[in-house]
This record gives sequence, C-alpha cells and structure tokens, in this order.
Amino acid sequence: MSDIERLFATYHLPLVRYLTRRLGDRDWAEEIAQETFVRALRQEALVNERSWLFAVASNLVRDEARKDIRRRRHLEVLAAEARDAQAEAPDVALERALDAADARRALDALAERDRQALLLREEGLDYPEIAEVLGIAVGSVGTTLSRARRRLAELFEAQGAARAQRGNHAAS
Amino acid sequence: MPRPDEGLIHAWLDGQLPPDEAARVEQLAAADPEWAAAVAEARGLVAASSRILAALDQVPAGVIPRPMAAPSRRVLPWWTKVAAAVVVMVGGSMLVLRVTPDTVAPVVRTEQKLPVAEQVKATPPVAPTPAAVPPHATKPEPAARTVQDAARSAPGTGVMTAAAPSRDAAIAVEAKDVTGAERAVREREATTAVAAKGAPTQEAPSTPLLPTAKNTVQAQRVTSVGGVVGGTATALRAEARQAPICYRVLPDSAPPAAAVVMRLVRVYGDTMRLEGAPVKSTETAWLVPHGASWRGVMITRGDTVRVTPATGTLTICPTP
Repeated sequence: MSDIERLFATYHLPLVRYLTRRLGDRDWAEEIAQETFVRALRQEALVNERSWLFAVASNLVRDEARKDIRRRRHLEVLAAEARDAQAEAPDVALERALDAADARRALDALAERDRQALLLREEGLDYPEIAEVLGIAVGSVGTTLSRARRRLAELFEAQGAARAQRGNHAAS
Repeated sequence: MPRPDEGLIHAWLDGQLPPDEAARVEQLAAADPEWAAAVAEARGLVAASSRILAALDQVPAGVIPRPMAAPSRRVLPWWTKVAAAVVVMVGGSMLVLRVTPDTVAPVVRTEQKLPVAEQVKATPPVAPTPAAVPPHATKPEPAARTVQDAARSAPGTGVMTAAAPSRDAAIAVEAKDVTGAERAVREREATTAVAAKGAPTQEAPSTPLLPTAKNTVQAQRVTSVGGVVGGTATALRAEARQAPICYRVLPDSAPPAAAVVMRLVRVYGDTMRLEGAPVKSTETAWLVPHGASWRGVMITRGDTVRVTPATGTLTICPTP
C-alpha cells in the first residue's frame, strides 16, 4: 500500500466526519476532503500527517466560508425545517432531527477557534496536534476546550428550552 | 490549595497531562471538594459536548450514504481514484452551476396559479407565466379551472386543491422499466410540472393525503395527479435543473414521521444526490403540495412506491 493509500484509508473517514460536522453538508465535506488529499499528493513528505490534513482541510473550509453562500443556504433550509417541525407532532425521529438542528445552531454559534478545537478533539487529535492546527500554544488547548464545551452545552440547552417554550405557547 | 483550573481539569480528563501533573490533579480532586465538584462538572461537559456533536451525525435509515470502499481493495492505482474523484466533482459542480440564478429565479418566484395537471397538459416547457399558457389550454372539466377561480369558489383552499380531484390523493405505484423515449417524455413533462411548483401563494388545508386505489397510476412517466408530481429520479432531474428543490425522503419501512428533509445538492449522470445519498435513475420520488411548500415525498428502492400522507415539507431551496 502506498503512502497516499494508507493516508486515505486512515484519515478519510474521520476527516469527512469532522468536515461534515463542521459544515453540515456531507457533499461539501467530501469535496473539501478530496481537495485535501489532492494537496497531500503534492507534498513530498508530511511530518505530522494528521495535523497537516486537518489543518489544510480547516484552511480550505475557511477560504470557502468567506463566500458563505452555501452556509447561509443551509441555515435557511434548517430554519424552514424547524418552522415546519414546530407544526408537527413530535416523535422519536422528529426529536432526533430537532436535536440535530439544535446541535447545529449551537455549534454554529461558537467562536471559530472553539468550534474547531471541539471538532478536532472529537476526531481524536491530541493537544499538540490541535495546537498546531489552530496555531495556538499547547497550554491553551485545555482552556479553549473547556470554554468550548461549556458554551456548546449552554447553547444547546438554551435551544431546547426555547423550543419547549415555543411549544407551550403554541399549545396554549 | 489552588482554585480549580478548568483548562487543567479538561486536559486531565482528556489524558493530555504529563504523569506528574496528572497525579497532582488527581490528588486535588480527591482531597478538595471544590476540585471534585469542578471535575464532576467537567466530566459532564465532556460527555455532553460529545453527545451534542454526535447528534450532527444522525442520518435516518435508507438515506445513509454507502460506506467508502477501502482503497486497498481497489485494483487501480491510487492516483486514478483521486483523478476520478476530481473529474466527478468538477463535472457535478458544472452541472449544478448550469442552474444559474437567472434561469431559476423566474421559476421559483413566479406565482404560477394553474393546477399541476393543467400545467403538464398545457404549459410549454418554458419559464411559467400565466401569459405563456395558450388560450386553448383551458378545459371544460372542473379540474381545469384556474387557481383564481378555485380560490374564489373555495376560499381557504390552495392552488393544488383546485386541481386535486380528492384530498385523498395519495398514490400507489408500480414501478416499471423505462425506455429512452419514455424517459424523454418524462423529462419534458417534468419540465412543465416544475412550473407548478413555483412559489404557491395560498395555504392549503392540512388534511393528510391518504392512498386510494383509484389514484393508482403507472410510474413510467412523470405524473401529475391532484397536484402530486412524481417520476423517476431521471425525470425529476429535469425539474431540478429548473429549480433547486428540497426533498423529504421516506425510507420504505419507516413511519411517515421519520421523514427527513434532503436537500438536492447535485445532479450528475443518472444519479441525483440528496445530501449524501445518491438516488439512482430508476428510483422514484413523489412530491405532494401542501400550502406554500411540498410534502410527502417518498423515494423507494423497491418495486412499489406509495405516496405517503403529508408528512413533511418539501421546501423550495433558496436560490444560490
């Protein structure tokens, strides 16, 4: 197995998952992942391949996010979905969908660095790797993660509470 | 004793501290209630954030993208895969980009007010405007009334209600193989059918659409019955080029409420891709109007498809 094949086999799945969680769009994530691997091909050697791949993917996302068209479109779709969901009787599947929508909104509300740190950690990157991708000191990764986790949990809870309140208003 | 350091605690819980420092944090957590409480809270936050992020991975049954084949199983060298992926990506993107705002906007924004069935019969495959409908298109039966007529005679009913012979307009379909000529017909009809999907302006009643035997139709063609538009992915592809659509997809076995909105993200070859799930040309989708949106779309992978009750919204995607 060549290096690039090994790289692909090892990192494609976590990279796409990371990007999908970040972007909320699997196809977009696949595209960014492909571009990342294409760029990896051009490299003669990768010292820390995992952090390199995630850093390049993150940069590609940032570059594309400047245009921001797709993200806005995605949010509009989510908004329409949420509006529609409010009118329907909730069940398990719907509850899951609402959870996902809440999670997306909570994640999107985080600061970019916090969001990235969380997603990278979820993909198993260690603190030095996260520090390398984000360009921060290793010592501040713990602080970044603790802030991000707390904020995400608070935002997610707030989304759920707001939804419940809307439900109560609608019922009364 | 020092105050609890959240960053330090998270680093400890993540197993990212050197042994001596980890031992120190462990000791503090065991000896100091304040540290113990902070550790307990941090554990909760770590678990909660993982759970929240995992919620983003929720994909309903039937629409999960096929797992990537392991590269080692492939016979071709690695660079062919990358090259093929790039070609597919570029090709797909170009297909999508062919739907420019100029071509989409009129379709999406025009307040097309003729019944769907009438659209299929009468409207040429161009941007739908009332003026584009030839005078002879009006038929004597009630279903041929214009929406304005319908709205006057039946206040509170919507565009599609006027065209629907019954609100119980769900459909049982036997899927069959499709010839090239039939496919061409479908595509042409889909082009006209999509006109009816341009921004309905009136709210339809929320009565569920139920399947009835009399509404059974064959699925070789793109069909419009009571505002329900359906056909194979190939035909709907033609629609998609006119207006980006958000599809709600129901897996066969799941209850209607398990529907999931799937945004049409790409059309290429014989496949249209809804989010991560490719929908092949032989698979069938049905669109049911509901108020200002579309509902009850189902795509099956079996021989038989059924339009389910109005279970979800088919939203018109914002124009890119």
